[in-house]
Amino acid sequence: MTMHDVPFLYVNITALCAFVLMFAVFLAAKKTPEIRAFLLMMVDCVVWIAGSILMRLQVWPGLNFWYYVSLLAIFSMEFVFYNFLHSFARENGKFMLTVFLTATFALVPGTLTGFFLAPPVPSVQPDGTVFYVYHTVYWHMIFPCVLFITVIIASLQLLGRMKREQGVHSSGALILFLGGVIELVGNLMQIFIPGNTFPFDALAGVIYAGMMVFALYRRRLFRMTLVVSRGILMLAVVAVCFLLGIFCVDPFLKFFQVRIGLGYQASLTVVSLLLAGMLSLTYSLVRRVIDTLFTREEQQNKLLKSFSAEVSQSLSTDDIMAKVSGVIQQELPVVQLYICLADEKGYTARYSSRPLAPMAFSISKDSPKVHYLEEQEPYLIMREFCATPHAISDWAEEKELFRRLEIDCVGAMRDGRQIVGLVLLSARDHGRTFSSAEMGFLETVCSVASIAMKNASLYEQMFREARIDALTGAYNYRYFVEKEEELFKACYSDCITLMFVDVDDLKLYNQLYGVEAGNDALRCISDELTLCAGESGTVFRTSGKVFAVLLPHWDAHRANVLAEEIQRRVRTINSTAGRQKYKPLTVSVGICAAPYAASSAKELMNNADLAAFNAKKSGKDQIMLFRGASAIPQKLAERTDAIVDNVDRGSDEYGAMPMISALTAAIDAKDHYTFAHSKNVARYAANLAVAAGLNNDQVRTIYAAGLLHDIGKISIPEDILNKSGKLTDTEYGLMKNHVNNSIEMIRHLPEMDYLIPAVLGHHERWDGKGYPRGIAGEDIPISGRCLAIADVFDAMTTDRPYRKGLPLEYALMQISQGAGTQFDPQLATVFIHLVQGNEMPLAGRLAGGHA
Amino acid sequence: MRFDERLKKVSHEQLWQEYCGFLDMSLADYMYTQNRLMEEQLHLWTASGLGRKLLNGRSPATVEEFRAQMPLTSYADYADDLLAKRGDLLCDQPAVWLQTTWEGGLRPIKLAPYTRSMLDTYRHNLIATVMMATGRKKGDFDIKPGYRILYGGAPLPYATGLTPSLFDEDLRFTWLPDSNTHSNLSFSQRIKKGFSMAMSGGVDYFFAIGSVANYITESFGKSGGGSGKLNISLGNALRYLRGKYISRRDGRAIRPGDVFHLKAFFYGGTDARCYKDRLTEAWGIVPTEAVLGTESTCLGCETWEHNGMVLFPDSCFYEFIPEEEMRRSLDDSAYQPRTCLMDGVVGGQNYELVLSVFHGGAFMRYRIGDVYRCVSAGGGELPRFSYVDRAPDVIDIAGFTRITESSMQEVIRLSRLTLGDWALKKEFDEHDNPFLHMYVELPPEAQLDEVVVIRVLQEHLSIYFKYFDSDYGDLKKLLNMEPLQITILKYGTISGYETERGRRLSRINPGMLDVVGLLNYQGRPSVPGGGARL
Repeated sequence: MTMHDVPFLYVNITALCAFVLMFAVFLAAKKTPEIRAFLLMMVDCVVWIAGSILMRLQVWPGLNFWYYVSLLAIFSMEFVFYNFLHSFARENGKFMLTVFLTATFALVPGTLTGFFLAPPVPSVQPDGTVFYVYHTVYWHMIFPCVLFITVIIASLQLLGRMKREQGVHSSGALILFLGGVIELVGNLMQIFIPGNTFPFDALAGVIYAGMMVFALYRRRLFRMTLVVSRGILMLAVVAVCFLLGIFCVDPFLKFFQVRIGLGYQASLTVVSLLLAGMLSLTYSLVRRVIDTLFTREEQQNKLLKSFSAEVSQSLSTDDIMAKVSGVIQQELPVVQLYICLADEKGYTARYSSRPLAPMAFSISKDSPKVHYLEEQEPYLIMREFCATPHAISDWAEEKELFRRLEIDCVGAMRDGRQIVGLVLLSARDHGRTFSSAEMGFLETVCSVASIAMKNASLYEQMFREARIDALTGAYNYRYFVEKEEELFKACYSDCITLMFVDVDDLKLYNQLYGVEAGNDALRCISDELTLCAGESGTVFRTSGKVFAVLLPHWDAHRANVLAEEIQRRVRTINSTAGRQKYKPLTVSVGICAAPYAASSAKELMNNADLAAFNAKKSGKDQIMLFRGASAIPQKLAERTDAIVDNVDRGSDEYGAMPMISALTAAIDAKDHYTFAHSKNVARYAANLAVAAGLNNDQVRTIYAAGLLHDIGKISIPEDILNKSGKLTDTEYGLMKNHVNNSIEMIRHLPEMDYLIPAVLGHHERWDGKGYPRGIAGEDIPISGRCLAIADVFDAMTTDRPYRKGLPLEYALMQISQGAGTQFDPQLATVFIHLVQGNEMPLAGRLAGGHA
Repeated sequence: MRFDERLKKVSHEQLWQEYCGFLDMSLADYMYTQNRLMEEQLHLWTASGLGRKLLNGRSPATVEEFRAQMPLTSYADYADDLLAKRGDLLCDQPAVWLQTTWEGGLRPIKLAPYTRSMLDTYRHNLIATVMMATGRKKGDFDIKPGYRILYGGAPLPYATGLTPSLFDEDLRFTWLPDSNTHSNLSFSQRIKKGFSMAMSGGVDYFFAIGSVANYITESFGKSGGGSGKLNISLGNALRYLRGKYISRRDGRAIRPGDVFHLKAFFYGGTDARCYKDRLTEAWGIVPTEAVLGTESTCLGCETWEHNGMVLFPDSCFYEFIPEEEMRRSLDDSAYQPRTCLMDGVVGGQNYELVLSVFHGGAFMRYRIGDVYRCVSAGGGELPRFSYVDRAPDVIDIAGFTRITESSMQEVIRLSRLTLGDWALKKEFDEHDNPFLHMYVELPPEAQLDEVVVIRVLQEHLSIYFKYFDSDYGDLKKLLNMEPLQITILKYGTISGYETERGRRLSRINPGMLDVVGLLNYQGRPSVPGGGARL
């Protein structure tokens, strides 16, 4: 047997490179038993080919040494090959493996001593080429041959068993079988083609190794992109070009020169063109592989990157779910997608990629699908799940649900070990198999989404908690202020109505039946309000027993109809079975509509509040509409008198007048000046309110507040009150505190809390530099603004122990100068006009002069 | 996709995992499945008319509450509604009503409704049963469409008739014969037909209750394999001839195993154990025990290791009454026996089974009246069981009779024989064949010649047994022996024995110690009263 060493060298070097390359790239793969067996095989192939090359090159320590190394590797190949098949088939029994390993070890001494095959002898030809001549093939060679044949038989059995037991899933078996045939044919050609100079065995070995890689890939044991890079593929292109150059140029040249009869130059041109064509073909093929393998992954990465950036910025779960749906639908062939989020019930459907898809379902937390996801995989493919014993724990209705929704795959969104959401996918081609790349993509999307969802849920929860009243579930006062402002602006070209619903006699109800019953009543009323308002309005609980209903684009008339419905429903709450032991519930409703009766959100709130107050004062279970400003009367003083006299007499709803009288009497006893001053301020402010077009209720409130606005001065020492000199900082601090003292006193008095805004605002300034709160402009209640002007005017124009009263003109000038800084400019102008036009009776020394 | 298509497209490993994967479940996983499906069943049943009626105002929300609040039930609790086929009272409209005997002629039949979901689970578990019986190891089973099944079952509406119909939904087998298409044939005609078909084309599986399997096996030997009238295939003819040669050489009758090489042999039912050895010898394959019941659906099957049945976790919710509790409740009908669950059974103990049928079944906490032995349990492994017998208050011989104390009283009444006190016990002869043993006293005025009396009594009672319970008629043929043996006791023995022991003797299936005690007692000279002294 003789062999030419030149093609051997090139082909073997190529094969060696291929084996080394495969070994190197699979070192990076996850080490499963199959991968380990493959690596072992590659090592054996490398030793075999390298030994063969070094033998031909007669590298130190010499031909014989490398020959034995190569032969040892060849004789070990049977075991290594069977080991790979054994791992690939996932066989449990190790008997045959042990037999082959033992046999392989048994062959080692014979191999190393040349017992089977003696080393070849190099024979140098006259043209300088070297042939390796195998002189002696002993009959002992039968031993390795028997092992070889036995391994082939055992391998075929194994592949057959694998095919039988694993059915269509054993496509790897077919690939390995075909590879084995190629390998066998290569070896037979190597042995039996007479005068062969081509290393068919090495070439077949490379092809077979490639098929093994394919079989491993088909079994999803590694991801191609994890072991193959663009660089490696480009290296492969270079290698192919290199081989083409080596093997094709010379024979082609000879072919064209000898057979075709072309000249050297022409032949060279044709060969160059052919070579260029082959190279470009190779390049385009490799390019295609690169595109298939990498472009999709790059596209996925790009999508994931932008998805991650978008969802991490979003604080809305709805928005995140829409983005999850979008990104999955872009990359996965799904026709329908649902997202279910964890709550007390289980995993409730919260999102569907189609608006008309059924959403009224939830998946129990105890579902075997959830268990499977918790324990096994980050995703669940329904077809695979149904083939597990977990599936038998499914309820019939759960199976029916998934069948009806045509769910093929479920992805889990996790927070640690806990599953916080499920992504249900329905494939475009129902029942199709999702690839590992697609599942990897889904897993990443779910993982990114779950973090974003967690943040967004926390935010939404906090957002909700900050805005929801824990007792009734209605929005709270804080959100009311925010929402009212927002809706008022939104309805600038239309109308908006605010309704305050004040529960009557809740205190009595609590005393009669206990706080829990009271709370229950509030919950029922809140539910009724929500039901009545529906989608048209928003319900808030603004204080203990007061609800607000904000109705954008509603006018007062419609609101009035709604209020009647609310009253009717509230009355029936305690008439239902089981609640008849409780007294009937009623509510007083105050309504104000903008722009008809309010020009700002603040005013809308104040007016509606006032209307509710008046409804209460009018005997409860009433509806009061704030009717807005009336025309300035011809005889202002008379009108004012008519209104405030009611207060003074304690008639109508002003049952609190005895209390007010008692308090003013207390002031009088301590500080007569303050008493007189209070009366003046009340009268001036009431006149101003009437002139400014405020309604009777507002005027009465302002008058009563005027009487009590300095009630807090009771707690200030007389020496400070009557001090003639400048007040020290401490004294001024005490003096400033009289407003808070007034509030402290009033807030504990029954039915007088409505005066607080006016009293609290009478030392505020239009520019925000006042006290105690430092609020500005229309944030200061109008009652407070009226009192502020009246208070300053009276303080300036009355005599004090330490100075005489200032001239009227001076006082008016001061008010005029303070308009827009200290005072409401409009009210200040009205006030100056009232005084200058003699429309308002003045008090004390001014009364005479003025008159 | 039908199972026969899946056989081509899905690996055996995957199919095994899907159908028999429960064998690898941990006990905790098994209990999870049991509890979860019980919750579903509870949800369905409590909303049904039958459930509301039996719960009688109770509203258990959890499985634990249900077990605490709901007493154990018997068929009498359901009889009014089920015998009237009140489908509207059930969880779902039944797809089929199955029938079985109740208490012979006293209360002739029991009806059991099956929802579609129950049938699907039944079919799934039937396939699992075949996989387990034909398996050589996990994932390695032998099922092929077209396999021929020698079938000794009755047609629909009996439970055995369900098996061919359910298999047909998923897998095309050849039934030898199909009991439903040959429902007009009598029992013995069906057996003959089956054999004829088997001889013409071979047989792969054999399904029958133990006594029927034994009868078929013995018929094979006696009929000489069906004689020349049968249409025998060439292969079977050669095998038959070979079998004949071997049997002649060994000096024994030809056996079915000499002709057929079964891939699986399923048997079950009362007294099946008695036939195990002879069936193994005759067929050359160890029969696999399986339990399929009318009320209980397909409950369980042994694997190829024959080390006890694992009960399917998705058929029924299983509760077990320990033996001493069972006996106490038989003595005192008002006593509610304690039950334990699958994770509470102890190896080596006998338990009466209590079932709640899943997937919309009607029976809840139902005492089916079967006693099982826990072969092995513990260590987190799934417990394994083997069927023992009916509960002691019922005598079932070879799966063909249901004799209770009241039905026996009725037979005696119908026979107009003047009998004294009696006790009836199921016993086994030296060949392990079961038979009824009646210990009876004759009043002094009725005592004649003892031998004649026994024969007359035997024949007389047998006639009325046959009249009362038609299945009793087949029993003699099946057992190939007289199923009723009588021993006459001295008059007053039973009452005297009861007085001495201070407790009532169970008239049906008294303990063996009691029987020995009775016989010893009557041997004493001081037995009170009775004809012995007359």
